[in-house]
Amino acid sequence: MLFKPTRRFREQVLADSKTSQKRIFRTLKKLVRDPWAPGVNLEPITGRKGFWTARVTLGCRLLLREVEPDEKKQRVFHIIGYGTHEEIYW
Amino acid sequence: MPTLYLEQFGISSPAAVLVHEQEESRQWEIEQPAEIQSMPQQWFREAMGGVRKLLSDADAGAADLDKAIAELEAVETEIRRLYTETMGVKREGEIVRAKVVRQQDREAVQRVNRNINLAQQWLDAAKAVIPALRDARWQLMAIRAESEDPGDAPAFDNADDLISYLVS
Repeated sequence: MLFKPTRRFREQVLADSKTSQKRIFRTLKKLVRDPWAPGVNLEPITGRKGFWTARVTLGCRLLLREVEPDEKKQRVFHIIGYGTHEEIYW
Repeated sequence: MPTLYLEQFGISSPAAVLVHEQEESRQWEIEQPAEIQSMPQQWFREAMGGVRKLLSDADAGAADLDKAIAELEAVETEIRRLYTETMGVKREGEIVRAKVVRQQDREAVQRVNRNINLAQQWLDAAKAVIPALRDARWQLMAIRAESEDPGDAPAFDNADDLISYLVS
């Protein structure tokens, strides 16, 4: 499985604080090891085929997009960016 | 208030109304005008209609995505803040209600009950609208990604290499 960081994602990471970067990198490590591991909490975006989100913290998620497989038929995900995504428990 | 662009879609923060409600409610003796009593449900319906319109315009390429995403996030944050405040207003009302019940002031009990119900209606509407705004924002982020150049970064199968690339 391959992961390609988009330009937007890289710029976002570089502009962010060291603390946030650490959280993102921790998530990337889990994600690259196994996107479907329970801790990653990979979820599809309803109505947007190929788009997924992965949990960074309870209030932040990564946006991913699965694109065409590469020539070796490996699945490829673009890491698009991240943003606030509060999990709601009323 | 961050509603300049989203107002075109009928999505506005209910802050002004709620501040008014709170000011009125804190006194717990002032009649609520009918139009404010019906506001939470009306605002909810308009906001949900606005979200649908925004997504359909975004799909058709007719929405300023960066602006809409930023404003939706600001509106969502504001509604969360108001939710917490309104919970406080409601609790305050319940304390007042206990007091007027003890005083056997039937008219005051009715007025306080009406305000508590209004706060509850607003809370119910906010509970439904907050996740809808959040999910719409993430859909807009996906729509934006569809038309965006991803850049020329390599693809990685190793997290350490990926992280090194990001910070290089």
